[in-house]
Amino acid sequence: MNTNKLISLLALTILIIVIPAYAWMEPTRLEQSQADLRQEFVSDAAVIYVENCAVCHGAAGEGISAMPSLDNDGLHTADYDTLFKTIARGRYDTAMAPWHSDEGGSLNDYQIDELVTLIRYGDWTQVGELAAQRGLIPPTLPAAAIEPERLAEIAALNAESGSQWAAGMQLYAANCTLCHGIRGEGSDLAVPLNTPNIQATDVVELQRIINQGVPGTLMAGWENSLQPAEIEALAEFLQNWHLIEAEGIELTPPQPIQIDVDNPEDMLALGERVYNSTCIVCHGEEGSGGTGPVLNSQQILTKNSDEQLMQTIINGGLRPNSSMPAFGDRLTSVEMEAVVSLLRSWEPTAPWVENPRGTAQGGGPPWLRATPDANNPIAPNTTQGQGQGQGKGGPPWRNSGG
Amino acid sequence: MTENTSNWRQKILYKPETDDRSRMRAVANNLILHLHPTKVPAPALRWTYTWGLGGLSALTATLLVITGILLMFRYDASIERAYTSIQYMETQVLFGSFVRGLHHWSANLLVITAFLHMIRVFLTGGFKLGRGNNWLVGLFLLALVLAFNFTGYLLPWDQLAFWAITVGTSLLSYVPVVGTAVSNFLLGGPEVGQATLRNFYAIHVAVLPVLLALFMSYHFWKVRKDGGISQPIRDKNERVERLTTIPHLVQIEFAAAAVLITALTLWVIFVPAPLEALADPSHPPNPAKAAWYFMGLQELLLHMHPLAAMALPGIIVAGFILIPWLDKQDDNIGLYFRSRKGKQMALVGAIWALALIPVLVIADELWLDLPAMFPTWPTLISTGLLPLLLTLAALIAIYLIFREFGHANPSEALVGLFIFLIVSFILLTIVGIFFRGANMALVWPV
Repeated sequence: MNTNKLISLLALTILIIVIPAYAWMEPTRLEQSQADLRQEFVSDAAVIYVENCAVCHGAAGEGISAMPSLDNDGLHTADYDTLFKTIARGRYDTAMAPWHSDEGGSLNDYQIDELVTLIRYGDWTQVGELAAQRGLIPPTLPAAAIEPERLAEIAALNAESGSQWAAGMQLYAANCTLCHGIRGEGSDLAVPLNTPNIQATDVVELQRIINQGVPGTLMAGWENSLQPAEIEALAEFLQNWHLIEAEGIELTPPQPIQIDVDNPEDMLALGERVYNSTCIVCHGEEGSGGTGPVLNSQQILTKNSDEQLMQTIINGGLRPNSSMPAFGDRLTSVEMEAVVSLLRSWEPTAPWVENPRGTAQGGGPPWLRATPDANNPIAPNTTQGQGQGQGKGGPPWRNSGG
Repeated sequence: MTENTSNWRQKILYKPETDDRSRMRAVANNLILHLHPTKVPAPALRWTYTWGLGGLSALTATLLVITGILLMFRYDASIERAYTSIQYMETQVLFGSFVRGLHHWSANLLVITAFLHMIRVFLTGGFKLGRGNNWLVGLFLLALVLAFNFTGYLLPWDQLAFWAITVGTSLLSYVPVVGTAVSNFLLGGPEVGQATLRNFYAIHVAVLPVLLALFMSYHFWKVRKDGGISQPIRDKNERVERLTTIPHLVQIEFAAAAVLITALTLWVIFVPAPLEALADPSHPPNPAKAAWYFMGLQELLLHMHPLAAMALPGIIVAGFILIPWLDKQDDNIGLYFRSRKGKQMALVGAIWALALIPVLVIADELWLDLPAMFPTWPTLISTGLLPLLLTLAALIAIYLIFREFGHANPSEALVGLFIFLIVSFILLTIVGIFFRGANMALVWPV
């Protein structure tokens, strides 16, 4: 046998051994690569989360005031499509805005897939760590709390089921206050619970609602994350809350952070903190624009008085279909004033921006951009079009004058 | 019955034909004997003459076609789905990762084998004695391979792809007058986006394969037409042993192919094709580098004005194209480095490049600041025309030194110059790939 034949034989032998071996390992490799990819999705999503979502949902998905927590078992086991739709399209009548680029948001399919993966498989301590590294530590409010001696008092109220009420109130403080409020007064996210109506509702029905949630609302089904006994306790507590309240027993509300409102520097710092945690998502770093207008521009700042800026923050965007939400009930007046003072501080150095209200759509196709002109229907003035890519100066055919 | 059996035996065991008519038919019906002549000179079979580079390139191209067709079934050329479709391939499709890895690494290997094949053909004078045409076709095929690689590079739509193509096409826009227009035409706009992905995909799977098939066929046919691969001219009296293609040549080819496929398979199994994060136009990596085979060009761009950095390779490529007319001495065909003298010139050229290029790169990084030295000149002259002319002068000087002091004939002097250029290009590529860190500053590779 000559050398060439020997080499061929050797090579083919290796091939014949290696390829079946690889084929045998292939299912394991596929599984491993799926696990790796999930991990990659979670890591990527953590970045997106910290940049976009932590403002409302907390640095580690713990929820802030009325915004719901994402780190709970109800959502870990939630349906993939429901989570995707909620993030992509927003949730009607709540503060949850649509995030998909098709809906005016800033995320694409892939990024929303990643976020869904984070919610379902996520490691929230990792997210919190990343948020802290980015210096994004939103003013976290201490959870509503109740002292042990108070719990003992509740237990003493009713010999038969008093201990159940106490357990229910504790569960309520830990899981429900974010949406339903410290005193069960409700919020724009959820219905009030401390009402005669609820007390009149059958206990079985209450348990069913807590177990299965309410379709079409933020109310998730809790049967996967709470024990049946716990849900029973919650329902018992809700039905007897007025009795507990009559004794003067309340949850301790979270304490607000103190700030010296007379010190302009403190206000500027606060404004920056609020801006960086709330406004930056749409208006960009230092007001450079994004989904929302370029705030750091002569047009916006010289044409609007402090009062007008304040009104826009309180009531939301003035233009029809504006996606600027009303912050009046989400920020305190001090915080809003601080933001206005921050915007004002940019005015001396603000640049002239050709189109501060540029939209992500780039103003539509070129033949649809001109303002309609009854006198000249064939060639209306092409320089008057609406909107263009942010800060890119628009496509070349729009800058040729005319 | 017996006749059938003998037919069957002939087909399976290749029993030799006995009469001329059957022998001729056997040749005419044989695919191998369409590609190769029935007999080849024994020296042409020497492994160290060709290194099998042309054949391995052809084999790699074939592998690329097969794996490429398989990939087409799962790939989706839209910026929303391209990346996801590759993640599907990697995580859901049986052998998906393997096929993609084979395509990826074969593509990279083809750049290397085709480049080495070009060097081999130059060094053995494979463009001489009427082979000039085929040299040009070969250069065009090398350009096609690069175009294939470049367009394919974008398709995964990951960070690496997006930014390599962005950097690569930004080189194009430095070409005077037409550069921006050509770049806009190819990209389907001023930036790399959906239109670019669609254009590149169409070019990659439709335009280039047709060109490749046409020109590869011509390339093979012309080798055959020119009387096989280049061989030294021999005395009329000298008798060269001629061996039959089957089995001598075929055995060598089969062994080379088996080794290549096995090595590639093992490589692919242990080193899967890379896939970085999804392309993000707002977060460029630092440093943003072109594909590795363009790093020589990108490195040049760091040292010269873009126009000069485009002009210099342009002039050198023009020189490569003109080689059949520059080196008209045909009697040294088929001899590596032309002659003993040529070998010396090549060695000197390589040593000069090895000494000069690192020194120049480091000097330009640390001390040399041409615009500061000539503050009144526009940069087009101080960092453009000046270094361009200096480089060209140096190349001419090297050639003249080989001629005058090395007593080399033009053919041998060109070998020295060629080796100088090739080694310089490889060195620049290595510097660009391994020694450039953040902001393209010179760093020691970690």
